[in-house]
Amino acid sequence: MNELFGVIPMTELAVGLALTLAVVLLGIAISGFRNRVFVKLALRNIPRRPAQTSLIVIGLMLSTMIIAASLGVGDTVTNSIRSFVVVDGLGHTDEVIRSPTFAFLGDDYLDGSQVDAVRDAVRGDDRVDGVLPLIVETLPITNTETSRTEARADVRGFDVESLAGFGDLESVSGQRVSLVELGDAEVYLNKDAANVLAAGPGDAVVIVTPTGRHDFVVRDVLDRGGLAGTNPRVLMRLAQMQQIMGREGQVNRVDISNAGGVMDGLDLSDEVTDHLRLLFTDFAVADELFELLRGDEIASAIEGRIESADLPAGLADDLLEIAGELRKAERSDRFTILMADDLNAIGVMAALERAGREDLVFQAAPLALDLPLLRVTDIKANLVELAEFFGTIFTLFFMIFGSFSIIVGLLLIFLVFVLLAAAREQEMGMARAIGTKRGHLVRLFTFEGTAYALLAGLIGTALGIIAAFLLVTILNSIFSEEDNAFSIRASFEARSIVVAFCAGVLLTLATVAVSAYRVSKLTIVTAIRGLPEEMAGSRPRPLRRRFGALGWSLVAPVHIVYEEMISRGWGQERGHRRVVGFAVAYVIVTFAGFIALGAISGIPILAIFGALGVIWFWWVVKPLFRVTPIVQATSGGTLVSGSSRGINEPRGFWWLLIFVLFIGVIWIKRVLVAAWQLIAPWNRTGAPALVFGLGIALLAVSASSTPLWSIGATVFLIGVGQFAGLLSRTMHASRGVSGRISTSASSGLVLIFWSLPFDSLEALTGELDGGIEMFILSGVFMVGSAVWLVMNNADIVSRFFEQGLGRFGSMKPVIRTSIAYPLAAKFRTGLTIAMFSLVIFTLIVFAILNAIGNVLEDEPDRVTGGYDIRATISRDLPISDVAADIGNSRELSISDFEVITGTGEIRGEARQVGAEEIGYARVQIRGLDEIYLDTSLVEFTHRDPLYGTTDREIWARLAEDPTLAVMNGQAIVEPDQFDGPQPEQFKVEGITNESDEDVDAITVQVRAPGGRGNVVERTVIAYMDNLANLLDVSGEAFDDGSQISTIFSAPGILEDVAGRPVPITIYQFRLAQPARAEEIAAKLETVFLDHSMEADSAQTLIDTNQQQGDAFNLLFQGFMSLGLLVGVASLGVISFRAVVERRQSIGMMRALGYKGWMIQAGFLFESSVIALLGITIGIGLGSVISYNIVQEIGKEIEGLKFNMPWINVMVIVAISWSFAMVTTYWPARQASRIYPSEALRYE
Amino acid sequence: MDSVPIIQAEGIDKIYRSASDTVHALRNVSVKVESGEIVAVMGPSGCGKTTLLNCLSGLDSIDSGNVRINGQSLRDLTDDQLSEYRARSMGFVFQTFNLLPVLSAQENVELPLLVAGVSSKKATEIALGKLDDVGLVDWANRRPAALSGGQRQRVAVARALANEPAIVWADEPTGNLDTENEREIMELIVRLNKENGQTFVLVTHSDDVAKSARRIIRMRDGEIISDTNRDGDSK
Repeated sequence: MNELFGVIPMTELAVGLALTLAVVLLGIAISGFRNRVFVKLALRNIPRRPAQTSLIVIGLMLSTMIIAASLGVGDTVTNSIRSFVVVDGLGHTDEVIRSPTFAFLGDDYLDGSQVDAVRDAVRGDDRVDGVLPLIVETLPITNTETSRTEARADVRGFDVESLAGFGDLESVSGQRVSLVELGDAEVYLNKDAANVLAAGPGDAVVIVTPTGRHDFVVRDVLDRGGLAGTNPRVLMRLAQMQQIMGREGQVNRVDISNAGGVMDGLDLSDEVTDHLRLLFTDFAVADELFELLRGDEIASAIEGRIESADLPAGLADDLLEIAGELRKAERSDRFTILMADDLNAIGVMAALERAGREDLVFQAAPLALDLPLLRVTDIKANLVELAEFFGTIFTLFFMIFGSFSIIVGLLLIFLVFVLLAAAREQEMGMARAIGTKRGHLVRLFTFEGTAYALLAGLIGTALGIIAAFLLVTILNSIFSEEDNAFSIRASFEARSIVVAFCAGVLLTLATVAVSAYRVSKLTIVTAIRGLPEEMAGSRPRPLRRRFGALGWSLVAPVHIVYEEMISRGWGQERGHRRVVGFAVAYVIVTFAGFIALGAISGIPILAIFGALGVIWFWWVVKPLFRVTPIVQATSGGTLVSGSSRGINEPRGFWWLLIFVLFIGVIWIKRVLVAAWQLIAPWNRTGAPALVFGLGIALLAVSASSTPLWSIGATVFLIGVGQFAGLLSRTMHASRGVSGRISTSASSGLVLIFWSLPFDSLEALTGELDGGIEMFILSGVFMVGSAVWLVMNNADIVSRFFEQGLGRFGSMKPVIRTSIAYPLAAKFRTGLTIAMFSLVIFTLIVFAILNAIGNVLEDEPDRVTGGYDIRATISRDLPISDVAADIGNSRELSISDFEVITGTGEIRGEARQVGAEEIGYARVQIRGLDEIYLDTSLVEFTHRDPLYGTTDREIWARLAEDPTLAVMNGQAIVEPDQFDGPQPEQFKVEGITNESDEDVDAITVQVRAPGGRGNVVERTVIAYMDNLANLLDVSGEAFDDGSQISTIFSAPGILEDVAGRPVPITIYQFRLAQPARAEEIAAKLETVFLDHSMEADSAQTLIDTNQQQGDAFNLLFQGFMSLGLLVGVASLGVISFRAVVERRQSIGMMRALGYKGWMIQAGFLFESSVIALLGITIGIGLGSVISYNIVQEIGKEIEGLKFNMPWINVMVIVAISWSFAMVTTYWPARQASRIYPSEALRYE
Repeated sequence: MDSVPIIQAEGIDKIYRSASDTVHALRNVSVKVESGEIVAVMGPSGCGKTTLLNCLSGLDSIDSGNVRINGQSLRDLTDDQLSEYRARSMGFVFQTFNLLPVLSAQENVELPLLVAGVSSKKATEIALGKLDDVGLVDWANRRPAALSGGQRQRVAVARALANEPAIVWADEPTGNLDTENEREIMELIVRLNKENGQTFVLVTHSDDVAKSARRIIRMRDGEIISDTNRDGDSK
């Protein structure tokens, strides 16, 4: 995988992360070297408590593991597809040359002179090591020995004189074979074809072509790969193929092999493609085209088009380059190459149309069509890109859904350090009392955390690789089918391992740093006496001083920096010179910055100010140079080591360097701290949150950003809650009550806000842009606010538990203490509940979303249109009368069928009359026969009521009036980020899948690709249910199988657009006995083998689709439940810690009469309370957001119902709770076995 | 017929063993305490005072000998029976108070009552009464962290007396208190002893505390070296 999320280049990311980690570790190492005692103190804890260390490492490694597993799956998918389509499917073929008319309705054969031209073009070119003319056709084949057939075999005839450069062939028995050895009536089968046909060497096979049936003998069976390819393939000599196709002297493809092997030939792909495209263009046409388009007007129109349309990156880059070329005086080769790519040509025409220059389009479009003499496709590069895309999508999926587990993992790291700090609180308080600085405590924790992080990073990466392999094995079992050559092969790229390790360790270190900073904030007295930290609160400084501090921070950065140095002890003794050095460097950097800013912005005053500053500063600091060798060092002076102390300071230079690097950070930090301290006293009034929240929200609306708007609104609502608390204080509410009002209102409002349906505030904000990140944000904010709400009303929760469960005799004291303990440590309990909630939240969301797919089972007609079998045939082998053929067959009877319909289809272009977008865009055109129009049960989500208010009425109007049309849902669905790069295709303006059911009809102009033929107008009166697309995979769908906007009308549309009759290629059958669909589909394939018919039972397709979806969702649930491990680990950590922390209390409870089992039950109950609270919150919030998601998807797929998968939910609850109990059992048992006298003696 | 002593220990030995060391904490100790007595156990640090208290109260096991409380041999009781016995018949006060930090003063006092199976309502009633006895009813809702040392120990005393146990064991009950608080606590113990006739066994270093007791047992190296009444007469 080359790019993470399709955006961040992996190699650069790996290098960047590795460098960052190296710098951070170097910094820690330097600090460790200077504080060796603290390193020793930190590291001695690790081996001393192996159980605790193990738990910490397990907790810390989970984030790394999830990152590693996600990247591993991405790599695997990328490499598996690459290996399948590139190595096995294409072999040495790098580029493919075809007829320029390939795109439209056949006519795609090249004659001998064109092939010779290709040969001449690359003769002597050392970038190319092979040119192979061939014919590729999809044809039916039968093994007459076994009667097994394959309707769509890939039959190829190769020019045996040109095989050099395309690799060797090997039989399945391991012998090297060659196409040269083939006799006239002999073929090779590849392994897949042999499997399907149950054929072996010597078997007789029949291949059907438009010229008739042709007998062959199988000479041998070949291994997959190279020219033998994948999927059922038949190989023969070119002459033979030309003869059976009736194409003597012709080929329909010339394959080019670049110098080098299968994969390294890719490096030359761009060069060779450009070279060939240039050679196979008509320069006279290119000159004419250039002259026609040259100039600023068209260039600007193209640039305008790039800005206004959301084009794929590659196309946008090419168009931009074309615009640049058009501004030149003369046509360049680059212009010719770019325009020879038909996608670019279409883009330019669309730009011209949009700019209102249709007159130019009429002249330019035919020229653009005539420009390429041959069509050169860099097929391998394109397929590698596609493989990358799929890998990226898988990584994105795993990373996004795994991100909850990563967040939970980070919370666990935080929790671990909170507990470690709690365990050592008194010790640290004493250390502070005897003179240890806060910085030392931070270092102590950072050193210890670094050791854990590195250990956890290594183990996490290793386990992530194992997890990826496991996931891949499961994926393989989901997607591999019988006779399917595609298999997922586990692979892990080195850079992914680097990224996983470095990202995991850096995330851990960042969390460690935050935890360490929090720990260092302890107050000595409260720490030593074990009092709550809030008892150490201090009064804020007066307003005047707070303002002063902020102003001073802003205007006196040098002084601030100096203060920071002093506070770090760098200003004492020899450090004094360092401070001078730092200040010198800082000021020089600042003034140099002004000079640079002035030069860049073109504002001379800035540069003058900078220059004067430098002069002034030189004058001020010049005397320092005489006394401060460090300054000499920084200004290039020579250092003499070994001189007496205080004279030379070699290390000063490095300090200076580090300091200069971080100088801005220190200043910004100080300014932010001062700003925070200024507003902090008013924080409880809600004013700062209200102001900031509103500011962010307004900014978000203008930037059209949903995440920013949601964050702004959240901050604002927190302010509202705080203000409610303030109001209650003015009404003489007690401090406790007003505090409860404030926090409950804040958390409650935030929870409500995030629980609202996604578009509920659209009236207020207008339509904003948001993606999948909103799901993560929603989860985090919903869970965060819910836990905040619960923990601030913990006493109510505890009363509920006590009153509910405290009735059971001896359980009363157990329940009292086991509720009191977790509620007394609100922070750690809240953190643990949040972890549990987040995990359960994701599991529930997936479980619910998994359940909504059942709409396919409930209403299959919406997918199938009421037809039981769907069949396609080869365009070259049309059927003249399907019903007659069925009637004449031995296998089938016409009475088996209730309805038989036929559909023809072609590619085309369309535009909407009166729309803002006036350019044509790609569309698929289908002509539906009368029977289809009379019998289809496909539903419409949007329709013009003038033409009908029911689905049937719409179909009937289509049958009556051939100028009417309908379109599929693709025409109005807006793509999301999982749809990948969207090829440009026709989209209706003014109607989206979210529009009302009643819409106005639109007029669409349709034409053949490239503007050839007639322009045909149709009135589009309705849009199909999206589900109708689901199984509708036609031969003309996009390369990745995704659907394209399609216009459906009476059959006349096809001939009107194409200018000639278009054969029927899609048949659909409604059966008298639908249960026989599979059997009859198989018989149809046999009867219509000569037409290359492939028939499938619609129900089987639905079931397969559903099963794959279910299995995939289950896999995701499994992956996400990795987070459950984190949640459970956190309970384990807390319980182990609790046993240590409460040893004396346990002794006291035993003295008071608690029995051993009561102590154990108390611990288990405590974990249960935490786990069940987390589970309840997770289920509740997961259900809410799932409901919103279902409503949102329901706009695209009508009839989706929100179903609570209770069994699945119960399983999740049972597993989570049981895991929690299992983890707590051991520490609970340990606690119950403590002898009272021992425990009481414990300190 | 002589009355049965409430506490009767005969020839008890207690040995602590570790991998490197063996400590003979109690050596052939025999002691009898009559119901309603206040007995102070004194001696230098490490002489076995706390061990004796733990062994007599069943908090710790013994290696040989026998301890009988109200004629019931502790050796014959299982761990659960011992716990029940403690819940019904014993109260404990420790030097470090050992209040549960997450519960309020009232909840701490209620706890032994709940363990003994008293209803919540009744437990609250009794707890408030006991806190009133020790003068802390106004502090009932405070957690231990918000109380002074003396107040905490008074809560501990209230908790020890909540079940109206026959015996109250107190290990250095004033060890963490100043003179004034020490006096207050001892006055409280003596008053409650007088009012309720409960037996108090106090481990202490303090001569002032010992003065409040009717009987003083002195120990050294795990053995009782003297057992006298307040006036110095041998028992």
